[in-house]
Amino acid sequence: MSDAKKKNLDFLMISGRIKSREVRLVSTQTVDKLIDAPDMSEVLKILSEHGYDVSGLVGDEKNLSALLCERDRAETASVVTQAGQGLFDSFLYPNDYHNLKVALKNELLSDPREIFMTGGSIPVEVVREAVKNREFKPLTDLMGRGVEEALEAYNRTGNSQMIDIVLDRYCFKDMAKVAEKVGNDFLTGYVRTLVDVANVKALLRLRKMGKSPEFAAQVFFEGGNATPERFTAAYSATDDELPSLLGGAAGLMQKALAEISSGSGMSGFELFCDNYLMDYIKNAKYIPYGAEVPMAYLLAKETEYKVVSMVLAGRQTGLSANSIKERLRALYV
Amino acid sequence: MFELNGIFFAMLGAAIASGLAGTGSAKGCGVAGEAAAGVIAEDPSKFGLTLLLQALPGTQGIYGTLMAFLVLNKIGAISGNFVNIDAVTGMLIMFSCIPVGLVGWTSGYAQGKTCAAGICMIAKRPEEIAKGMVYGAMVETYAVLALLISFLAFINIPV
Repeated sequence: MSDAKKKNLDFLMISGRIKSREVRLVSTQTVDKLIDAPDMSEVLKILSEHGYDVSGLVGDEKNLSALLCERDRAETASVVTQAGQGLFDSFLYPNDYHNLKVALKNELLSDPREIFMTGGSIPVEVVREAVKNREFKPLTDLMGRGVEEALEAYNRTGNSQMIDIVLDRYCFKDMAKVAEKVGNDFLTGYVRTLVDVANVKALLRLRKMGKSPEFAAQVFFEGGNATPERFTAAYSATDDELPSLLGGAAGLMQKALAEISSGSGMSGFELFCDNYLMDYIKNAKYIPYGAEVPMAYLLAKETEYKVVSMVLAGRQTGLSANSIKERLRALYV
Repeated sequence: MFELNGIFFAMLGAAIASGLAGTGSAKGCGVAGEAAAGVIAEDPSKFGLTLLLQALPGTQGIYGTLMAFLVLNKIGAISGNFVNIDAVTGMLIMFSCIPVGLVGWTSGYAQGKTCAAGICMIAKRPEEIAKGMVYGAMVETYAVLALLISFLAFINIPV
């Protein structure tokens, strides 16, 4: 992490480059065009205008969105990492931790359902081998400790959910550690917001599932604007009391409850959570140069991949335009 | 010795004017140039637009050089026939150089940062180049005022 504690002026060139690329980000209007396009060749044409490498693709490939996004993700990563190796790892950790969970579950469960994801800070094969051989040197310290603790929790309880809970906790810890090293307020704030959103999601989901406060207490994460203890203490409170008990996460909880009670249900709530994070990221739009510019671009691209994948999947399964639009996340532009 | 001290102060003034203002411009042009190179890496067609903004912080260095040239000319450094000036006159010349040097140094750097922001803006909205230049020119105002004061303070110093 030799690039830590850089100043805004150290990001001038990458900021200029990223601002130029931002004009090619997929916008809401582009998404409408993708949904309304008469055929897949038109979809590919639109995506190529937005920088996607569509060479060799005809549009009827089963894994079309994965192919498109993987190519673009690799290209984006190669540009953004010019700003400094290691600076943006924290954004890639969720993919690494997802792969750790998959590697563990593949080993422990008879019917694992999740698949590995590219786009992490560590290649999938390295993660797989590290878990298989219990040789954690290629991983971060916290990744290694997380795997050991997840294994111990699974062996103790026999519950595969514990793998997710433990590794999610370590993922947030790892992200917070990098954010602290980099010393950038935008990144620190993003990790805090991410943890808040995860805790609010966990609280509302677990209450809906009727889980006990004791179980919930194991799930809440550290590193947000409200402590896990606050979430545990507020777990059994009424909806009216909840926001006032959550300190720094009160505003988020209030908006989340309003979203659920507006009739959009839990799917609308999930959408709200993603959009809440995007609202945070959008603050970087008005920063002319600095570490925030490539960071926000990286996050904007990840959301774009989700949206493009949803549109392509929706088209391939014959969903109506309205049904696709209902599921879409807010975009950066 | 007394006369030599006057020349010493006047030469120091010329060094302050061109050295500090030039440093400000160099830093400003460097800052703007880095942002411009990033834009050009993605879109070479914006070279002309980015060059306009990168050139703006270069003016402080020109003002400083102009002031230094006037000083060197007045004391005969250019022709090689140094005039005899006392220490007080030399110091007056040196003080007259301070506004353009000091303001040129700080404003050149500040203008570079403003122009870098303008370059990042035109990466997305090239049609707004004029607004980016106006923001940069606002910083320029103070370099021009400093040059004016330096010039007025210097021009009637008797040698």
